[in-house]
Amino acid sequence: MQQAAKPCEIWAVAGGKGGTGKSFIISSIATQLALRGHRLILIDADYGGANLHSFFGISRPKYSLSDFFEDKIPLSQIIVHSGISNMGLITGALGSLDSESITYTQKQKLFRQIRGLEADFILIDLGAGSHINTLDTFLLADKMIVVTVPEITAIENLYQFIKSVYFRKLKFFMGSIGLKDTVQELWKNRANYGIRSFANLVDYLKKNLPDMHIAYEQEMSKFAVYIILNQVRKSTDILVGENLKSVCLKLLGLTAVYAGYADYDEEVQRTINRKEPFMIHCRFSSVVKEIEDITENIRSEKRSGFSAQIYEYGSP
Amino acid sequence: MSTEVRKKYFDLLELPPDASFAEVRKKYLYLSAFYTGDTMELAALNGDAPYHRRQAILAELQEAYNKLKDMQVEEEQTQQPLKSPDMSAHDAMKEYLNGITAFSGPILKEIRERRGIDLSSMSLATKVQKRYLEEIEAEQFTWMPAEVYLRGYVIEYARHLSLDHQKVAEDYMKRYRRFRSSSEEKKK
Repeated sequence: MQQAAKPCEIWAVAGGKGGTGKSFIISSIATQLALRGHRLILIDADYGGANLHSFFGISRPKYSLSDFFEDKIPLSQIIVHSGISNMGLITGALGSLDSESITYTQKQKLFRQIRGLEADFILIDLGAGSHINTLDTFLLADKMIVVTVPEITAIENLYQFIKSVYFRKLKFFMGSIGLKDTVQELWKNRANYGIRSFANLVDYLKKNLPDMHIAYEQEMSKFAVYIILNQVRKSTDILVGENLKSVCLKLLGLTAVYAGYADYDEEVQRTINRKEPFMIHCRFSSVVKEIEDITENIRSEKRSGFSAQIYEYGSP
Repeated sequence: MSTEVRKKYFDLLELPPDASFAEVRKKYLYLSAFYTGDTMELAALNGDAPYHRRQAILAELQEAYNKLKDMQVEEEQTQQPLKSPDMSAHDAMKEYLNGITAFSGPILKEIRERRGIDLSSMSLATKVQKRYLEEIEAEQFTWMPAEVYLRGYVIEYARHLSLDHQKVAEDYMKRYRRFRSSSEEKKK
C-alpha cells in the first residue's frame, strides 16, 4: 500500500446534545478546507441518525457504512463524491435499525481503515449522546471538536460528554500502564476515597500516581477539546465559549480551546432545507467568515484559539 | 520573579505571557465576577462547582493579579533609565559631541533637535515641566524655582539625551551663575 505523502489529520465533531448544529458545522468546515485545496474525506459516523449526505444534496447515496458493516466492502471503496472538488463522502448507515449491534471487531476494523484512508484531512461527524461507540470514534481524532449552543441544557450535555470522553481516555491510559480497572474502581467507590466530583478524581489520580506522573502528564496533557459555539444571537453570547473554556480548565481540570462561534442566521436553515451546501450558496452570510475563522483556529497548532478580548470582556 | 512563576500567574488568568497589564486587570475583574456570580455555565455543572472550589479559584485569581501588579510596578521603576534613547552608535553625532567644549542652552537645544526629540515627549519621560525645559534651552529664567531645582532638571535633560550629565550640569551651572550675577548687577 502506498503511504500518503503528508500525514493525515483526523478531526471529529460531537457534543452531547442533538440539534446544536454539529453536522452543519462539520460539513461547512469540510467545504472550507476543500475550497482551500485540501483533499479530504468526510465520514458520517452518526451511527443512529445519519443525515450528513443531505447537506450536499445527496438523497440516496450509492454506498454507505452499511456496505462496510454488512457486506464487508473496504472503506476506501464506499467513498461517494460530495459534489465539491477535493471532498469525498462516506455516508452513514441509512438502513440500519440496529446501531447497537456494531461489534468490537467491526469497530476496530473501521478505525484501522479510517486511519488508512488517503487524504490530507479526515473529518468525522458523530451523533448526539455519549454512547461508547461515539466516544471511541471521537478519541480516534487528532483534533476533538465539540459544538454547543448558548443554552443551559446543551451546556449540561456538553460537560457530560467531555467528562465521559476524558473518563474513557483515562481508562485506556490506565489500561496501557497495567492498571485497567483502577479508574472504574475509584469511581465506583468514590465515597471511600473522598472523591466527590470529576475534578476530584482527576486531582486524586494526579496526586496518588507518583511514578505514573510523567506518563500521565505526557499522555493526558495532550487531551484538549476545541469548543465551537453555534447559534449566537447576541454579542454577550460570544463570551459563553470563553467561560466554558475557563470552567473546563479550572473546575474539570482539562484543556479546552475556544475555536470560535457562528451566528444564528435563518439563512442557514433555509439552505439546509433546500439541500444546498451553505458555504457555497450563501457567501454573504456572516457565518461564512466565522466558519473560515473557526477552521483556521482549529488547523493552527498554537492552541490559542479565538479570544473574545475584542469585546473588552464585558460582564459575564 | 522567575519566568516559571510568572507563567503560572498568566496561566491562572488564562492569558498569553505577553499580555499587557491592562489586559491582566480586565481579565482578573472578568473572571472574578464570573466565578462569584451564578452564571449559566456554572449552574450547568451541577455538582462539579461546589462553593469551596469556587472560593479557592477566586483566591488564586486574587493572588495572580496581586503578584502581577507588584511585578508591573517593579518593572516600571527599573525600566525608567532605559527609556532614554541610546544614540551613541551614531558616529557623526559622536564627532559633533566631541567638538563641544562647553554645554549651553542653545547647544543642548541643537543636540535635542538633531536627535529628533520634541520637548513634549521629553517632558513626559523626564517628568520635568515643558516650560522649565524651554527655559533651560533659552537660558531665560522666569518660572524656574531655586538653583538646586535647575541643576536637577539639567541633569534630567542631559540624561535623556544620553549625554555626560555631570559635565553638562557643570558647564551649564557655571554659565547660569555668570548670567545671574551679571543680571543682578544690572538691576543695581
